Amino acid sequence: MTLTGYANRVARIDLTTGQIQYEGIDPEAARKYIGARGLGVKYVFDNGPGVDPLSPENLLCFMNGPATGSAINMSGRLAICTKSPLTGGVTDSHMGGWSAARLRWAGFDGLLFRGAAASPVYAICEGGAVRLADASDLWGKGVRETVRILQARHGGKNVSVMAIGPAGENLVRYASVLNENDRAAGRGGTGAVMGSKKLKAVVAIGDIKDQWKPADGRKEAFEEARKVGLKAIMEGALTAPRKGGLSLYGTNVLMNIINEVGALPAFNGKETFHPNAEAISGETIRAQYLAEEPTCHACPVACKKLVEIKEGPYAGVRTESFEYETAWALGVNCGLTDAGAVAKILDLCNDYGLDTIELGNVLSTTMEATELGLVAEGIAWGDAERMIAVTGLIARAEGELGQALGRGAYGAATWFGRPDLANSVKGQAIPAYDPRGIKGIGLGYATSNRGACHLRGYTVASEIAGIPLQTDRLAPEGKGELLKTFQDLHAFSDSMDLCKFSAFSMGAEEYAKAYSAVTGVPFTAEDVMRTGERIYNLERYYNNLAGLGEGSDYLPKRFLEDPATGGSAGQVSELDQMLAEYYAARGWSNGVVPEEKLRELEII
Amino acid sequence: MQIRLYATLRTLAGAARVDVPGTPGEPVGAVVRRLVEQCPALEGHVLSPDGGSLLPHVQVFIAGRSIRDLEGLATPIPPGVDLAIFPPVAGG
Repeated sequence: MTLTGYANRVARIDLTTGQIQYEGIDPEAARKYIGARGLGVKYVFDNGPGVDPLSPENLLCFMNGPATGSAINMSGRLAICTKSPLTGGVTDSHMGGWSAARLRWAGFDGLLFRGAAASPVYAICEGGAVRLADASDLWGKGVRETVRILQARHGGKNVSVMAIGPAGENLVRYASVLNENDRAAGRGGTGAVMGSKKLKAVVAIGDIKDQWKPADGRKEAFEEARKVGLKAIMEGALTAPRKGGLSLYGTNVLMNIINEVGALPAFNGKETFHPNAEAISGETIRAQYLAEEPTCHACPVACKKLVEIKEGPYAGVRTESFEYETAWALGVNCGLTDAGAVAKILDLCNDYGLDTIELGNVLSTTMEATELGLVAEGIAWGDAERMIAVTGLIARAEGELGQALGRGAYGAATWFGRPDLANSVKGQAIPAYDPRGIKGIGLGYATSNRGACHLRGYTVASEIAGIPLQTDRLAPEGKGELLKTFQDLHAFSDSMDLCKFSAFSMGAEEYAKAYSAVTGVPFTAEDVMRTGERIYNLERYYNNLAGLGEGSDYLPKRFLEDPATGGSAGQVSELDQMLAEYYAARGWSNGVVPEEKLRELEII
Repeated sequence: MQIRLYATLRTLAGAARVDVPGTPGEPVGAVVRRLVEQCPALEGHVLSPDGGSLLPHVQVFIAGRSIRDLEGLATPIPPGVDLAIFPPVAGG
């Protein structure tokens, strides 16, 4: 059956030779893995799990899904898939804004970069063709200036630029890729992989007039699917524009509630409550610092919050987006509750091209090491000026400290001689929910295929918000099944590539409708879940082959032994109990996918 | 006792904290109904029209525990604790 919706065009770009080849989407691979995350991981899998992430042999995929750039709601996401230099496993990192849509309107489902250029280059995608251009004049520049130069050079209008800053050039293991809207593919070090290939930026030039639209016989079904999704968003308690908590306050609406329940890791997780978290909460940001509320392609929610600092030492900082994760990582996690200082460091991360979550953990780990006397010129808790200075050292890979801290929280803690100080799993540090106060998300960190991550299986929706059903956040029972459901559902939506927040108002039924409307393939909610399961297992199989086998699903000792404080006082994670339930639900043997499961899911 | 309000509830009530009469052992529901009487702008944003249940995804916490994980609106209020109420919130 012919799949519609896709551009049916992928470019393979060999940066060593400069050769560019074009091919269609393999219909069988598209059926099994959809697009974006799923199809990107398949390309990475086929490239082999043994490659060194920062070698020319690693594959770097910029991937769209079948719905990308269409009028389907929340379809403005793009996935960057590769082997992570931070974890040694497969990773996919997504960015919002307009880059995904413009790449699709430029005629592409994906760009697959391999090899490494002898000198810096950037890629220009337009009208179904890719060309490479010299980027020597851009090397060393921040993301902001790079974007400004390239947008001006390529006409400004309809031009999206996805670029790395100095952090990616200097192979900082958690370097990110950002676009003109400060939207980041933040996690996993995709920016370092770009840097290793001397690829400074990808420019996508595409006009909405080239948006995919259904053929005559399919217009009605498409419009129905679009309206079903839109209705769910508009009426969703969280997503309703200008009414829902996510729309009004952005993701940082979580700061107070997570603090209230005692699941907000503070001071590198020594505490799980911070008495002054309110100062950097979504409520405070909206009341005192909000300047604009931009949105992504095809999204009425507008959860992004652009802030402007008007007073104090950081006056003049204007940056987006003051996300919960960033506010936590650079804020309470480091003992800092000065919104201006957090905005300043966020702004630096956006220009240097650094993942704010990993950086926050690197800094907090360094702070704890400093407190313990393990590092001479360290950082005191909440010392904003020193945080700013050290962030610069990291981005520039300057000195022994800058280089050590560029290896991530785990790498830094190992350098300090205390790897246990890092709140990391598989080399990637945790986001903003403490596993002791929200049990399911702790299991999610342990079993995430891309290292500690909340976005693989966002059980917080159920454990805190009661979406779709309320589960007791402190109960370990049932979390294995719950997490598997979330992981499989998200693996599908990430492959469409729909915003993760669609899951607050949509479910497998709506996803199936959207997929069918775009591709013309009959699809059910069961198909959504089975496809998501297949994608999750493919990632796990890759990781197993890459050396992340038995025993690679764990949590740092702190979460298993040191009791939580605040609203979760006395709690620790019952990881072993949850892992046993999870593996049974997955049909895995201690974290390893057995051959029969691979066959059952048609992976082999 | 003090009730802490967040997000849109704070805007509706015009205050981040509201003092409401309440005694230890009293069910949470009674205090929340009293809050709505005291702040009529909260009507239709916390409790169902008959006042008998919480609206979907609204969370009331006692010492960090959601009453949905306890006895709901019938949960007795322990001595010396405040309530915190959130409208539907999530992020990521």
